[in-house]
Amino acid sequence: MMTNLFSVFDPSSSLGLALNWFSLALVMFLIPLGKSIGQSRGTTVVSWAVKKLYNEMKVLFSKNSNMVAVLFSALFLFIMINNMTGLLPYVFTATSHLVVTLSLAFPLWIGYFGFGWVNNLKWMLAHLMPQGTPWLLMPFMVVIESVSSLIRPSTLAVRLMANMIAGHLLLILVSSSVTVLNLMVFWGIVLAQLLLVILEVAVAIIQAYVLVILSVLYSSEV
Amino acid sequence: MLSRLALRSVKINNGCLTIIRPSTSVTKSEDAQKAVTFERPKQLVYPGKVRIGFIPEEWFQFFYPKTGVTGPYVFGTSVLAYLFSKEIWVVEHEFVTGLSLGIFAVFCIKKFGPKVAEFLDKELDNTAQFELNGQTMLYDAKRENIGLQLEAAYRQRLVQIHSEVKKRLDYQLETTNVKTKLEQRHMVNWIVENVRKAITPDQENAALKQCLANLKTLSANA
Repeated sequence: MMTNLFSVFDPSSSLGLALNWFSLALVMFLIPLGKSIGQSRGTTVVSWAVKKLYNEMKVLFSKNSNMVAVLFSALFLFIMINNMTGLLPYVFTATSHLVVTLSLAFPLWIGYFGFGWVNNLKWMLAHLMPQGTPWLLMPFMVVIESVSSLIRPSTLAVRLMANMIAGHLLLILVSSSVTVLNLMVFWGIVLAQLLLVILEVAVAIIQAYVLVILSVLYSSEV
Repeated sequence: MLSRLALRSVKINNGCLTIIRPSTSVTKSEDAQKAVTFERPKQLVYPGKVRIGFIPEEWFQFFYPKTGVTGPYVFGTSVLAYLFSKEIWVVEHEFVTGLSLGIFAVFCIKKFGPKVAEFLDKELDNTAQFELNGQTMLYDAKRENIGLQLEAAYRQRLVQIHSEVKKRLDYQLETTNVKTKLEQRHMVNWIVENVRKAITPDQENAALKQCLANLKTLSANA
């Protein structure tokens, strides 16, 4: 029963119990293991995708510490599966809450930010001024660069959250009119929904990838 | 749950081994006639037969004796009609979203399914080939290891033989040397003894007088 437009994003499954957060654990049930059971088509999909992503990312890190690309591959898989399962009917989208996205993005950012400023103070201060700025703009550039560095965790979190909420809201808006309209336009609505669903699937994958790639980029700036 | 295993008929067990020991003698013993069946669970290579994508064929066979070909379809339609009319399955916005997602999923599987399956099978073959090459290398390494061990044992035995033979030859040499020494010592003693016995007192006096004369001439010259 839809009490208001945003009731899909409500984590409470019954009065007082917030069991909808269990959808975060669906990741564990949906990734096939492979090595203990034996290779199959399903396990090959996951292992192929993760291998590709890992190979992409390990060149962005130094040779001695490129195992951290495993962390980012796992993060991508986690966010993508949460986004995709949220598209299924009656499944809760955990990444549409700032609680989840911020708790993913903030520790990543604060780790690199704190480490960089404590250990490489001169480097970080020097990089507040991009090379080749005219001397008139220098004070403003420092302010702008520092602000952009400080709002990075919130941009990472809010970007993912806003995309998920916007997509789901559009789908709900388009489909809730099916109860009040006649059956003639039902298939027109289904067609519109089809296009939106295709968009949403693409957005689910792309947003996960964007978050991970930006985190990697921020890590290289230290 | 109603699984296909529960409804599978007994005659599908055509791969099991059945041993029947008939009674050949006139006097029948207690365990003369025994049918022993050794049944090993089989792992299926292909998924079971389904109709409309997800309904097992065994359910249709279950309905066939009583209701014929159209039985299961009528049953399914009536169940759906019951669910919709009693509002157990409410047609709301999530239903329409699920419907459009279902259409998208079926379209993707029909269109891209065979290509993706082909690609994944190729990946599986590559993985199997890679592991097979690894096995071959492992066997070669083990064979080489055993060869090295055999070589080491052979060389150790050669050294053992050499030392044993040398021990025996040394013994022979030592005995010969000891014999020669004993003979020489005995000969010297015999010669000296005989010479000493052969010296008469006159010869002794004459030798002493000669020595004194020599000494006198030497002292006169010096």
